[in-house]
Amino acid sequence: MRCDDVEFKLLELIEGELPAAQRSEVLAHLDDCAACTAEFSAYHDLLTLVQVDSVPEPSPGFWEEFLLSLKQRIGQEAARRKPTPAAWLTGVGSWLTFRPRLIAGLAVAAVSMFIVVRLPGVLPVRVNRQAAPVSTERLVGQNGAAHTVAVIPRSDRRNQQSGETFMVAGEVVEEPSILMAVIQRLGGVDELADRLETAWVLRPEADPVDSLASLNEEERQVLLDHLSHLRMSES
Amino acid sequence: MREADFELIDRFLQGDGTAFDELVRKRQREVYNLAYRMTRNAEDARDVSQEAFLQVYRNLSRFDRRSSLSTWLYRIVVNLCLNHLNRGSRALYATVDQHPDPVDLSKGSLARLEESEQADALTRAIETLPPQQRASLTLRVHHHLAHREIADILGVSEATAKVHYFHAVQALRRKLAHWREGT
Repeated sequence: MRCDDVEFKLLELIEGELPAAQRSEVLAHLDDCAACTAEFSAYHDLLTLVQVDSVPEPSPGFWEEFLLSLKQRIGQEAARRKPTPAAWLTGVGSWLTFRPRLIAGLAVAAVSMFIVVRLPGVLPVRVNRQAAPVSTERLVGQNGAAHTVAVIPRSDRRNQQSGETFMVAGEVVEEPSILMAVIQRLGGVDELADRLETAWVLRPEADPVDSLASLNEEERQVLLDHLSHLRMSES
Repeated sequence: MREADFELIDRFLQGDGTAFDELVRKRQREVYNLAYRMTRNAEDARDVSQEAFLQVYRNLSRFDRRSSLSTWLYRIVVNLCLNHLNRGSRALYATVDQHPDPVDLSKGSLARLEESEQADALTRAIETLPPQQRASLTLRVHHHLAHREIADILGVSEATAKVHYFHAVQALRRKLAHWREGT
């Protein structure tokens, strides 16, 4: 057995994971080779050192505060997801109060719409509905930065009710969990927006900051395939 | 352990809110330790741990129980840490600017000083590991997971997980050897 072959097996030997036959071969080599024996001791010492590398104990009261704060966040999130109509209206009101330009813009848009709708022929307007985004979503990444993601139906799947399909940067993704996975693997929403500029998502319910943890083996495989394809198309 | 976890999940899904508190209390330390060893920063570790439990709360009803709760939880924590490290965390940049605190020689012997310097050198060496290698090393050495489980958490093959681990140990050895030569 050569020294090069032994090096990779030293860690397995230390961890007791080397099959019996290989173990005897490696041990026999170590008996005759001072360099590999030194290597073995060095790895052994290093792993002992890593093992005793401790995590500093948090301050007293840390865990009580941790749970309390977590429960507050859960409560806030639940409240955010189910806003009452009154709270919503108050929110919109206060938001508009500080945006006089937006109000003016909305007024101009309303007048223009009136002209288009009520006076056909005066201002003929053609709307390309196939290309128009249905809506946009503000997705907030984990660093707090928000990005706008256009949510559009694909023209050939407009009326599809089942087998929801998503598209991320031109790639069709068949499962919501995989969409989330793609976004997470790309480093979150922020990174996605930075690297791919525009993400076209086919369904408005996707929450990319949700967990990917529900991925099963098959989904993961599909994800990996998608990712490799994405990488190829980027390069 | 696995059955006890599933029992807690069942209780939570049946509307028992205290079951989630129990689950957090039971797992918070291992989650925090994993996050700390990945981020090497207490504040980041706390943020990541909170986010991880928040994601557990949101998705517990979708947890399919094919893997253990630990594996699922570790996957969430590791993914959050990888995202965090990829974006550039406090700890990641601390390695460039951070200087060790001045050492009070009167407090300890030379051996203790060397021990403390060695621990610092190890910390700095770990901070320079690529995130996937850092995850493999931590999950293996501190959480005692099999390479197969680590592969499952990282979403890579078992062979790749082993290679990450091997490269991490090799890199640490090289860096610490440099440190020894320098002292």
